[in-house]
Amino acid sequence: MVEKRKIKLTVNGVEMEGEAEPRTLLVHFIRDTLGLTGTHIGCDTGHCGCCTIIMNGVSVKSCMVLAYQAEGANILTIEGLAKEGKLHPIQEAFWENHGLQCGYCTPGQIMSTYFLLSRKPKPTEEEIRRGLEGNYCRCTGYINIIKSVKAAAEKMAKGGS
Amino acid sequence: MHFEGNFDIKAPRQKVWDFISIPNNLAKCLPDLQKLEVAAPDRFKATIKAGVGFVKGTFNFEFTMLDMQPPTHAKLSAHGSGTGSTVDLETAIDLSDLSDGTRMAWKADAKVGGLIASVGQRLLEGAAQKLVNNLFTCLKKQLEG
Amino acid sequence: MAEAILSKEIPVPRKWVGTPIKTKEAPRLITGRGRFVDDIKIPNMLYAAFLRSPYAHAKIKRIDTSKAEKLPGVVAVVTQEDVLKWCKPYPQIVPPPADKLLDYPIAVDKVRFAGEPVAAVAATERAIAEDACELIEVEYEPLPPVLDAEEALKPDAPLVHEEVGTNLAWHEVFDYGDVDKAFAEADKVISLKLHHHRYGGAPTETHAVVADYDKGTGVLTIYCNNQMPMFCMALIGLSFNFPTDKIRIITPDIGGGFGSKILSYTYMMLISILALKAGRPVKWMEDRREYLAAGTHCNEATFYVEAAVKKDGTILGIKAKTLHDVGAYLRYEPVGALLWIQVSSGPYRFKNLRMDVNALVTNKGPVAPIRGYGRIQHLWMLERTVEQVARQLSLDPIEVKLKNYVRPEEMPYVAPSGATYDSGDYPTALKKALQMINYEAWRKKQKELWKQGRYIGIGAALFQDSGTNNFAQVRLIYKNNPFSGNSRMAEMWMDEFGRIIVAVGSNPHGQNHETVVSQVVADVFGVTPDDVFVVPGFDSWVHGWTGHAGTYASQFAVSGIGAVFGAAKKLREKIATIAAHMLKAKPEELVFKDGKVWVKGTDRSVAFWQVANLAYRNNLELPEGVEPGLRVVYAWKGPFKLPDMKKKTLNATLTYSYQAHACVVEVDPETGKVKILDYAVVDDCGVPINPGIVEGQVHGSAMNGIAAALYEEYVYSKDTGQLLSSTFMDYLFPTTLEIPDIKVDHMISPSPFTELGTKGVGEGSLVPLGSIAGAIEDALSPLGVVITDSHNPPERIYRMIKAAKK
Repeated sequence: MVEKRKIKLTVNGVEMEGEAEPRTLLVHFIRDTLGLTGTHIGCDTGHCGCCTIIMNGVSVKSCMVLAYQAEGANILTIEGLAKEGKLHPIQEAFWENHGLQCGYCTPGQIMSTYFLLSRKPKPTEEEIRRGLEGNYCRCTGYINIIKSVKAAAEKMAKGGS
Repeated sequence: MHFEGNFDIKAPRQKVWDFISIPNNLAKCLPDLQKLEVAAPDRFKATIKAGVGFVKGTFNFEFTMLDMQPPTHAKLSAHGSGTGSTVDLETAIDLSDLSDGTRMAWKADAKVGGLIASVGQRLLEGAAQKLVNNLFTCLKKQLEG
Repeated sequence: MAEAILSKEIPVPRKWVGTPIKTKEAPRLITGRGRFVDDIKIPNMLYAAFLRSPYAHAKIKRIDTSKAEKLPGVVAVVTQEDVLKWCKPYPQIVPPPADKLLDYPIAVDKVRFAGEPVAAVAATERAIAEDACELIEVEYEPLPPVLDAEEALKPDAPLVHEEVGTNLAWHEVFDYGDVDKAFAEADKVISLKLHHHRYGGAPTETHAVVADYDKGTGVLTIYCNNQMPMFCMALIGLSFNFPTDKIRIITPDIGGGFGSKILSYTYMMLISILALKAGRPVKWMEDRREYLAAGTHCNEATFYVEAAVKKDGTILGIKAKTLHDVGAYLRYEPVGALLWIQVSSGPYRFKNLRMDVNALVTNKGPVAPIRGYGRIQHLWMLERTVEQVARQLSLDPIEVKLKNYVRPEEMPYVAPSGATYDSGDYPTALKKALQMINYEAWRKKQKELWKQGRYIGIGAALFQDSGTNNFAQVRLIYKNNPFSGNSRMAEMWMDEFGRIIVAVGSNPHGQNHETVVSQVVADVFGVTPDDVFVVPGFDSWVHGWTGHAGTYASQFAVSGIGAVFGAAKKLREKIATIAAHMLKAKPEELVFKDGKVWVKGTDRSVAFWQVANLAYRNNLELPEGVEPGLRVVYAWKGPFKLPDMKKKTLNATLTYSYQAHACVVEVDPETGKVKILDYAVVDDCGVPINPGIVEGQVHGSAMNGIAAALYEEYVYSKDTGQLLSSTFMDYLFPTTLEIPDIKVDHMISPSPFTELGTKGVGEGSLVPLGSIAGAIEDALSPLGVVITDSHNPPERIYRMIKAAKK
C-alpha cells in the first residue's frame, strides 16, 4: 500500500488538513482533497501558470510543489481574495477591463497580479509583462490583462486592500 | 538514430567472437541490469534501468542474435519497452584481425518511440551515444582482462 | 446605417445593444467559482487514464491487461475488444473508396499515429490508473510510417488504411471562370510552392469528460467540454450502441476551444464505455502531452500555385494544386480541404480560379477545425502569391493588393465559387491599418536603415472571416451527405414573477454569450441585462438544440442571436396580446419600458408579473385563444440554398467580417529572430452587439496568428513520426513577453443579409500569418528572400539569410 500522510496547513485563513501520498502535487491536494477547484491545471510542465497560488507570501505554481512541502504553510488561493462578498480591487479591475474571456487562466493571472503588486505597487508595463510571463492566456492576447493590472494598481493606490 | 564506430581489442578474434556470442557475457555490460533470462542460445531477455535526462525507468528488452557468421559477423536485434517508451534496435558487428588483436566495427540503428522520444528528444542522441560507449568500453575491459 | 437597421427591429429607447457592458460570466470566473468539467465530483466516481501508442504506425499483435486489472484500485480496463462490442465505425463524409475508412474511438488492429489511444483504465485515483497503464503489455509489429503528403501520394507508400486502398482520401477539381484563357492572356505567370504548417488551438483547458450512467433510469449523462456536442451526436448516434434518447449531454464552463474541442466525441464515447463497464461514474481530464499529440492539429497544406498576371499587377487568374495532410483519420475532414470555397478569391476580384484539391491521410495526429478552419491556409496562400506577384513585377505589394481588392461599390460581391461577400470596404480598412503604424514614415526611413545593416520591414494583409456557414457545403465533397443549411434554437420564458429566462443551444467557451444575449433581450423588453437570466452552459435536456447547435465558425451574432431575437419577439408578442387585453388597448399602441408594458403616451401600464399572473395562475382572465404560460421556442433558419452540383458553386457563408492588419518588424540577421515593433488592426464585424467582447476576440485572434507565424509548430521526427513538440517546453505558447501591444480600430459595415446587421465574428482568420510573412519578406527584400512557409522561427530565417548572402 502506498504511504499516505496527513498534512496540516492554513488555506485562506482557515486551518485545514488532508491526506496525501509523497508524490501528490499540491495542486491536486488543493483541488481534490480540499475541494477548492478555483485553482486550475493547464499543462504538465510548469509553464502555463493556471495553478498559481500564494504560498507563504510568494507566488508559486502549485503543480511544481509537492503537497508534503506545504505542511504548515500559509496558502492563499483565488477563493480567498474576495472578503465577505466584496471583490478584491484586482478582481474588479479584471472584470471592468474585460481581462478574461473563458476564465480558465484567470485565477492564476489574478494571483500572480496579487503577488506582483505586493512587491511593485506601481509597476511599469515592462514590469507587468515580466511579472505575468509565467501565466499563459489563449483568449485575450494579454492586452486586456495588462490593462487590468494597471487599473488594479491604480485602484489599490487609491485605497483598496 | 544511426551510430557506428570501431573498437580495437587486445585479444585474438576467436576469443572475442566466443565471448560476444554468449548472452550472459553481453548482458554483463548492459546498464544497471536487474534481471536476465536466457530463453535460447540466440535469444535472451533482460530488464535494465536506463533513462534520458529526468525520464528514467525500467525497460524490458528482448534480444535476438541473427545472421551469425563466426568468427566474423553478427547481428543483434532488440526490442524494449518501459516508461511509456519503446526502443527498436538493430546492430551489426564485424570482426577483423589486427597485428595485436581484433578490430570490432559496429553499426547500430535505433528507433525510439513514446515518452522518451518526444519529451527527451533533445537529450536522446547524447544519452544513446554515452550508453553505447559504456557498453563497448565494458566489453573491451572484459576481454582484455 | 447601423442605427437604421437596429431601429427597424428594436424600437427605441434602446440602451444595451452596441454597448460594451461588463460581462455576466466574469463574477464567477474571477472568484474561482467557475464550473469546469474537472471540477465536477460525483459520488463513487472513478478516474481514467489512457495507454497510448508509442509508434506512429504498427500492428497490434496482442494486448494483455491482466496485470493492470489486478492492481488494487483498478475497477475496469477497456481495449478494442470492448469498443468493438459497443461501437460501429464512424460514418465518413467522403465518396468511395475512402468511405470504407475504419474509424473507432480507440485503435483497432493497428495504431496509426503516435499518441493514439490503445487502452483506457478506470481506477479510484488518477495516479493508480496511470500506474495500471504501465502494466498493460502491448505487442506491436512496427510498420514504416508515412509522414508527408507527397510521400503518401506515391504508389508504393505505406497505407495508413489498407481497407481504403489508397492514402488519397479525397480528390476534387473546382474550375471557375476561364482559367486557361486567363493564362493565355497573361503577361507573366508566377509560380510558387508554399507550405502551411501544423499548429493548434491549445486552449489552457484540455479535453475532459465525466460519464455518469444511472442504472435506475438508464440515462447516460455525459459532461464534456465539446464545442458542438449536439452536432457530434450525428456521429455518436450512428456509432454508439446506446439508445440516443437516453443520452444527456451537459457542457458547463469551458476553458477555450479554438476548434480543437470539436473532435472529442471519441472521448465522450470511450469514457462512457468505461463508465458502463465499471458500473460507476468515470472522470477523465486530458493532460497537456496527450492534448498536443492527439488533441487535434490544424490542416497542414502544401500548395503549388500559379498566378496569371498583367504587368501592371492585375491578377487575371490563379490555379493551385493543394495537398492537405490531414493525419491518421478523417474525422471532420475533408471539410478543411474544402472551406476555401467560402472565400475562393479572398478579398480579390479575379474571376478565374482552378483548385485541384487533395486530402491525404498520414501517420500523424488527426486534424480538426482549428480557428479559421480551411480559410487561413487558403487566404495565406493568396496573400503570399499576391506579394510575390508584386515583387516579381517590381511593384509595391501594398499597391498591388489595393489594386486587386474587391471594391466597396461592388458589394454584395459574388466570388468565383459563388461565395457572396455581404459588405465591406477593404481598401479603406487596409489604408487605415497602415496609417496606424505610420507606414509612410517607415517607408521613408527603410532604405537608410538597410544601409545601416538593420532589416526592418512592413507588412499588411486583409483576411476575411467568413461566418454563419451553410452545411450544404459538404455536399460538394459527396453529393449524398445529408446535411444542409444552418439553424439555432432558443427557448425563452417569463416566470410568474415577471423574470425573463433564456436558454440558447450554444456551447460558449469565452465568447460571453450570456452577456450578449441579455443585451439583445433587454432591449426587446425594455429592461436591463441584469433582469435577464441566461441559463449558463448547455444541457441537452434544458436548452433547445438542432443538429447545428454549438459554438463554432464565427456565427453566434447571426445564428444564435437570430434564434434569441426570434424567441424574444415571439414572447413579447404574447405578452403584448395579454397586456393589450388587460389595458383595453391595441398591441400596436404598447411600449415596453422599465419592466412594464405601457400604453404609448399615457401613464397607464401593467407590470410583467401582472401579465404573468394571468398566464400562469389566473387563466380564466386570459383573452380568447391565448394558451396559458409564457414560454416560447424559436428556431432560426439560415436563408441558404443548395449548391449547384454541376458548377460546384455555393454561397457557403452568410456573413463576411474582415480584419486588416499592418505591422512593422525587425529581423536580426545574426539570429533570425523577429521583433514586432508596431502592430495595428482594423476590424469590421458589421454591427457589434458588445464592442468590448468583439475587441477581446480581435486581440485573441491576433495573438493566435502571431503564435502560429513565429512560435508554434507541431514537429514530427522524420523517420519515426514521434511528435517532438510534445510539451510546452517545445511547443512555444507565447507569453506576455512575445505578444506586443496591438492597436485596434473599428469600421462598421452592417450586413444586408442579417436581421440586426450583425456578422459572425470570433475566428478572426489569424491575419498575422499574412502580415508578418509580408513584413519579414519586406525586411529581407534586399537579400531577395522569399517566404514560402507559414511558420518562420529564427532557425528558418537564419538559414534563408545565409543562403541568400552566399
